[in-house]
Amino acid sequence: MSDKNVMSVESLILHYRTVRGAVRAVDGVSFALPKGKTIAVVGESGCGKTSLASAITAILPVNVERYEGSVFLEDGVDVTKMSEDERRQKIRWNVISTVFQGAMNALNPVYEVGYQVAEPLIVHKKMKKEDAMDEAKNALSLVGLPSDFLKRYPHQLSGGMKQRVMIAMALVLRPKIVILDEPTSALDVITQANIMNLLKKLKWDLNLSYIFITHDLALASELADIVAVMYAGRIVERASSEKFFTRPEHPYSQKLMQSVPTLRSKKELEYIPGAPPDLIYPPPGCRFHPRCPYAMDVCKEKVPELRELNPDHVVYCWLHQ
Amino acid sequence: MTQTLLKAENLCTWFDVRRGIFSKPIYVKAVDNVNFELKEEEAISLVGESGSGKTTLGKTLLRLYRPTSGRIIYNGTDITNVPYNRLRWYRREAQIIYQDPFSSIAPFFTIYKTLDEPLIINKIGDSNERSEMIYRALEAVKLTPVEVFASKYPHMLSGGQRQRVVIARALIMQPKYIVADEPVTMLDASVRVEILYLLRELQQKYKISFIYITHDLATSRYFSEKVAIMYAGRIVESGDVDDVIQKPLHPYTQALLEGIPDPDPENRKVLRKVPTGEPPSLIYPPPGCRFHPRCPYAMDVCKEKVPELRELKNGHAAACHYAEVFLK
Repeated sequence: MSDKNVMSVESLILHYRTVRGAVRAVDGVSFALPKGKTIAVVGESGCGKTSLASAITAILPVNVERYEGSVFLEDGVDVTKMSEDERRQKIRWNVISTVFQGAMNALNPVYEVGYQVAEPLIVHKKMKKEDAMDEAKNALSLVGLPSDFLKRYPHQLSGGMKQRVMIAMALVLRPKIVILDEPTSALDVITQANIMNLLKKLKWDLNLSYIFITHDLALASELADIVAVMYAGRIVERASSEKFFTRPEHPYSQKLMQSVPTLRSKKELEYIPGAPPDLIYPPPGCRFHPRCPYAMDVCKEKVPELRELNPDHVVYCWLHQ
Repeated sequence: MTQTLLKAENLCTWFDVRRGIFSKPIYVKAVDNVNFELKEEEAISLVGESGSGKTTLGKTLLRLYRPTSGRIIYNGTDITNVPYNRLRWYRREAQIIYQDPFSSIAPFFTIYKTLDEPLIINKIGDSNERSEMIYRALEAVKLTPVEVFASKYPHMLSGGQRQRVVIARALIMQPKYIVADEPVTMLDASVRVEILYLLRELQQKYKISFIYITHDLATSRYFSEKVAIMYAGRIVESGDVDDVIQKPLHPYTQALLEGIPDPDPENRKVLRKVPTGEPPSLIYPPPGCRFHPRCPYAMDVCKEKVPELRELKNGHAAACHYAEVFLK
């Protein structure tokens, strides 16, 4: 990939402290995000994909046990090494913004949505309110909402419209990178398709880079140029969309693909027996070995190393060593 | 030929949302003039977006709501207006599985007690017979070893295991039919398939009819033979799942299908051709066909005349004035 990377994440670790011990939610994750491209992080609930999003932007809860690794931006700065003030002033909203899961409930019910979209401008850019409202109007038209929506309150909007407002808010400071954490999880099929269309158009027009977090592989293919599969806090496979959707190589990815019901072709669905591991006491070696049909002795003992099958396809599995 | 188990005729469930007792009634027409038929040993999917009335229809059929008008006939008996206190027998024969396995079982009951409760309430068996039934139900949903699971509390189980408990609880009453309201929506992809296969297996083994309520057309084809698509309180299309998916006759169904992606790397390069806009208000639904404001093919007649759900080919029915055109 010759494109310039807008972000490279290196050995990112985020463990939470609990009474039972450290929860290893993110345990050594690395990837690079090329400019104008989308990486989809897919995995089942509890695999650490939302924790990865908070680790990247360093929005951390109080019970952090361990937070290490690096998140380098285009200009070489490391987000994890900055002070909290610096991150707030320079990084969040300005360079990286986030559209959170269930974002429809993240709007403040007592403010007009126009003001809520304008607020980052007033706070970050020290803009006058009138100018900020003008910008907010532009941002709303970008996501396909007419300007009279500025004066509306969240309860006057449908779920899809609220999600558009959240996207407008994330874009108002023109960030380079947008983290989308299950942006359509509570929406209906047709509304979801409309939002995905919007995200595609914004990506093409503004040359945005997305980190798209989802549990839905079919939905991931709507945006992803690169797919990273997460299992129990680690990435187990990372590949270009073409390679991943035609030929996934990690047994977990394969099983996950076989569990996706399809409309246009009838296939036999499969499921993965067992449950994802406890992240406090993850199994030794490859974390998928207790559920893996191909598990060998080495899988139970040693953590599989990165294996590059292709320049744009890496997998962590002993079958491929 | 299998018998009709449950039939709804011109069924309406409207909710009165007026404020103040002297004002004119304002109705949310959640279910509006629906005809529906469920045969013995049959599984039907009821597909629609949120607010389409699919859950209200399911609950009305269970008589958890009293319909505003129309008739519900169960096994030849009209149960439309039977008072709640004389429906005990029906509560045994018709069961429901809810969406959220985290809030539909009591947290302070062991699994044994959760399953014992409906038996006690309905005065079924003595304690030995009951415990045998409980273990059999747990075995049917593959929560084995049964003794171990029976003594556990819900918080000790995963989402998939809890949903199995909910299924066992429905099963233990030996129902004739079960309404499964989004039973796998809260579960992960891999577990989802496992639960759907389990429901399918139980349906065939115990000859139970199923109404599978879902917003996900893709899973419906793995679970049921038939499907009914709902939009704004009405059924707009029904028929065999494969017919409906391969040749949708209603523009709404076509839009729904277009909106669902299959995993394919080409997806990211194209926009989906889906209608914009939102489903209509159920208080003041648009006249004529309720989909006409969003329909790409809408003609004048669609704005004036309500299209009837009519059969076009081998049980495949659609409520669209131009369904014949799509049939070609």
